[in-house]
Amino acid sequence: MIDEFASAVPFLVLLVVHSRYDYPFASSLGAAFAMAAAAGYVRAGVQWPPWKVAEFAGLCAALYYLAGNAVYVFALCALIHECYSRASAWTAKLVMIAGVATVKLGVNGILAAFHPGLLYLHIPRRLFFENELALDAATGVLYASFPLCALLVADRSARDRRASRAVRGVPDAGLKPTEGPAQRQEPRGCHLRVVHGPTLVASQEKVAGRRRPIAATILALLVAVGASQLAVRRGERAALRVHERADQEKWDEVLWFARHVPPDAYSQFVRHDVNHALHQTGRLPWEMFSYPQAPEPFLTAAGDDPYGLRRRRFCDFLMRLGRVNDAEFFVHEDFVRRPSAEALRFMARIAMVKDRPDMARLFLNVLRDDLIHRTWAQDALRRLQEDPTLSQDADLAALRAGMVLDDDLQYASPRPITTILTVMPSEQMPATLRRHPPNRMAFEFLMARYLVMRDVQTVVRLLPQAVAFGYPTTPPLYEEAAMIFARTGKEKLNTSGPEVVINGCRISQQTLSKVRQLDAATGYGHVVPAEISRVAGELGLTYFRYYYYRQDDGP
Amino acid sequence: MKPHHAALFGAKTPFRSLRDGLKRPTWAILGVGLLGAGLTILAAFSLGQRPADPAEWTSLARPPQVRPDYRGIVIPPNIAPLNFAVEEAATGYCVQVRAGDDQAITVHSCDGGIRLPLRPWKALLDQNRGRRLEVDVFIRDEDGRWQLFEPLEWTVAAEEIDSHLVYRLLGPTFSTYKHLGIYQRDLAAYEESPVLFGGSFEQGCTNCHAFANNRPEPFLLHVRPGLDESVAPGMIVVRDGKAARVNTRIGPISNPAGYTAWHPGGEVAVFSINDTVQYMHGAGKETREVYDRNSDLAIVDFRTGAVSNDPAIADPARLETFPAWSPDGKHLYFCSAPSLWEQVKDSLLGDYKQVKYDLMRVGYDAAANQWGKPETLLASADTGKSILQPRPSPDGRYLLFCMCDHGPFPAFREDADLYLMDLSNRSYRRLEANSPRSESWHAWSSNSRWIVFESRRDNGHVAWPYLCYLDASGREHRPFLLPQKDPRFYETCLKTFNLPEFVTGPITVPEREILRAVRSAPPEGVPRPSGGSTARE
Repeated sequence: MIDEFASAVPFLVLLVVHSRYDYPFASSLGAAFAMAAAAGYVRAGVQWPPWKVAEFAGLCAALYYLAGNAVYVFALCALIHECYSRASAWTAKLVMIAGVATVKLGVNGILAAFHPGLLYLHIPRRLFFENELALDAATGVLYASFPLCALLVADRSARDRRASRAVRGVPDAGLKPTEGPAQRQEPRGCHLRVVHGPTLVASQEKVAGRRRPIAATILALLVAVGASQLAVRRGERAALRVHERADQEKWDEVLWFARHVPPDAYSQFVRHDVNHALHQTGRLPWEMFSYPQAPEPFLTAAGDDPYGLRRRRFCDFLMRLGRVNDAEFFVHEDFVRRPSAEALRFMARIAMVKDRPDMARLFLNVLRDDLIHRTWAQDALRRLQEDPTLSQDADLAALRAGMVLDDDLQYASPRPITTILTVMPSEQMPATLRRHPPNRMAFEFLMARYLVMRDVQTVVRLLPQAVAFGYPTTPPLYEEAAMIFARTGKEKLNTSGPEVVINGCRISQQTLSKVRQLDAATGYGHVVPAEISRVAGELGLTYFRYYYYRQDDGP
Repeated sequence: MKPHHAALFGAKTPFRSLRDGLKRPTWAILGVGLLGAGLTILAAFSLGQRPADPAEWTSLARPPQVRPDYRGIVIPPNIAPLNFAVEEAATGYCVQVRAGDDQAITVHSCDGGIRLPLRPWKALLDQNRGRRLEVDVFIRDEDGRWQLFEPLEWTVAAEEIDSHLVYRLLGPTFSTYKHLGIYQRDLAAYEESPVLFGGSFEQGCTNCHAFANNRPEPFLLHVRPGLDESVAPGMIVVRDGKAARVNTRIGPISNPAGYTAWHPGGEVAVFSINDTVQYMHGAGKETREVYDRNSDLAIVDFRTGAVSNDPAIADPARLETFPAWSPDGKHLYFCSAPSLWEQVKDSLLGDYKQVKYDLMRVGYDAAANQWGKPETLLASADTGKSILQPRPSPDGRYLLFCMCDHGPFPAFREDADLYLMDLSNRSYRRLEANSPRSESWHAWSSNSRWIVFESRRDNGHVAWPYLCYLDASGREHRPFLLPQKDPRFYETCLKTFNLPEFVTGPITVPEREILRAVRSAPPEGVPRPSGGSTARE
């Protein structure tokens, strides 16, 4: 059973690493290449040392060219095979060890000598292995699992062979004096056949010997699936599900999965995706505070970037907010630092939004070579061929309609979200709201920021703009903010009448009723904010609850 | 355990005796031999299956769609084959390049990519200097019938182009760079090799290469540190196969040198010192904008190491940049604009569209290192545009320059165009070789018959080098894109070919020699870099 479990370890590792959002699939391909090469090497069973070394070096070179660091997996497995092979000469082993160290330099040298113009991307030489050399932890663990398990299996087989010889009375020079036949376990069925001949018992044991690894593998699979689904970073997996659905623009599912993200995994990325999903489903001004919020409800450009999420989200965010030039700047900078197909796709998309078909074609031609994005690129190229302006594309039309029109020159860096979603001290609206029709996303996100910041004065000042978006009723969060402003501002407004109008916004009877219930429940004297927050929550006044809630007050 | 092949062959297989008789290495040799023989036969077979040339065809009354667009161009007699792609749907392609009815190069293709063979191409050009070549493009339809387009016309000029082109390659850069380098390209072939790659010194920047009289040596370039901050920014001069740092930051000159022009004598050079800032537009098609908050010119004498400036080229009230010497070395051309930035300091530039440069000329006495009085050759007030990057032709007849609506950086301006001034009467005209997009960074060949410039006409984003012929009467002909071995090279080329310069031979100094100078200690008095890395084209 140990053999079977040992053999299944890489499988388990594969399962676990594949559950990582950012795991490079190329690593699995590399491992597959390495194991195929190792199997070929062992099967060939070349004995003559010079041929053996040549075969080893050839496979190493080919594998390094194909799969980079996976060559070490092959080299270690081959060396383990040689070490457990009695016929292998020590010289060959040593030459092989030296060979694996030099093959990398050799291949690098050969490739570096290639003419840079031969590469379509015109990559300057010496860059071939720069990215590949950085072995991430998941790939490292995966690669290490193969030779480790090979070592376990080989060692086990060697013990079995020695035990088998001992049963037959064949002396084994490799046995230690303390190891007697009585201390060794019974050899397995396949070996018994050699000893006893083709008996019925041996045949049954052979069948059992086949079933055992299958059963062990299935068991291991079940354990691995269970472990990866239940135990391995459960909170993070829930968060990743949110990101995955957001990538697919399945906004309802984003909100559904967001409810299963535990607080410790509720990162700014989750919050960003949730708020975006709320906007896309038209619920941001209604339900925003039904989900956890923080002082900055949207992703900012600076900070760590797990899984490359930040750059993708931020670029998409800028584009949807109408700051297409900022998005363009950001994604090009990102592409220069870390060339990727996703960045190229964004670059092509931005070029299409900006009605620059020649530029889009350039990026799409490169992207056409990418296995993942090829179909999208080919389709986009076809559509550009038919209509270079892509005037029938509804998504592009929406993005174009939301683009800022007022140019503003600034130092070479994308504007931070805090600038884009801020009303200037001069009371000038952000550029995203200065165009007609204004960008609804920009308006809702701007309001969301000020709501989160508890700046009800600015929320009330922006309220008249809500008319432009044709809300069926004034969103209740905005009404609540207006009521708070009316009751707590410097100039307290009368909110006791049957109709309350604040900065042109008529407060609905439903909101008024809830606020009056809140007043009745908390009394009209001095009430601690925590109490208002608690009661407001019970009454469904989610912004009141948020506004009066303080961290110091406890959960 | 039985060997696997024993199970395959079985105990009584007739191969068994053969297998037993041969050792494994012999099997391997046999296998490799058989594989080699098979490949040889396959190759011979495929060569023998060369498609038949079109014997009958129908004519189409239009030229073919080809990329790069090589229609109606004048080409040098020593240029590499003009490989191109035929962008017409077909099942087969055949191209014949012929001079009259005598000689022809015939190329077949199944995907439209036309690669002309080097040796016959060279012979064809050599024998047809000053004559016209016709390029017949045939396509085969699904029924196997050939169709012939109107021929492309290529005229072979009598005058050669300089043998090499030196340019900087950089990615689709906005502000940050990672991998860029200066490369040289053999124009008669496709050989490209690095002169200095920034990755060789930790993502450093290398820029503003300059040559004296189109000769490959002496030359200079500039470096800026990348991740390795021990590399000092500065000028590297290569002379007699040796590279050395030159200190240009002496006295009041604190910034490193920028655009540089060698005096024809080769002993002094004028360089600009630019306080350059990059901006970005919040709206509009072009996102990038570059301005000099301050700039001056200074002169360095390589014999003594002395660096000096003069109010004639460094007026505190003006921004001077883009120096270029007349071929006789008696005049310096440069661009100058009034300095408007003082009042805005570090804030954003509200009136940036008012910044327009004049074309200036100033006399220079090399023996006495004396400057004359600057004169305005062409005023922005008269043209309404910013006049930039003057480059006099080596024969002294013309001045090629660039104009755009405003600012000092035409590469990022779609309205940037090339203009040619006749220095005998100072009349100038816009070149017909311009496109609706940006043209800039132009240079002359040593015989004044060829110009090269970078243009964004193909995609509006990355710039590629165009070659253009100027005949004896000063009339330019249709420019063409620098040929590449891969006919579809530019379809996926994300690199900008920046600052192309002709040189009459290859740069022979090895990259490691330049790197040695790059890594050498900065000359005394040169401040260490303060980090950061932004790049401009």
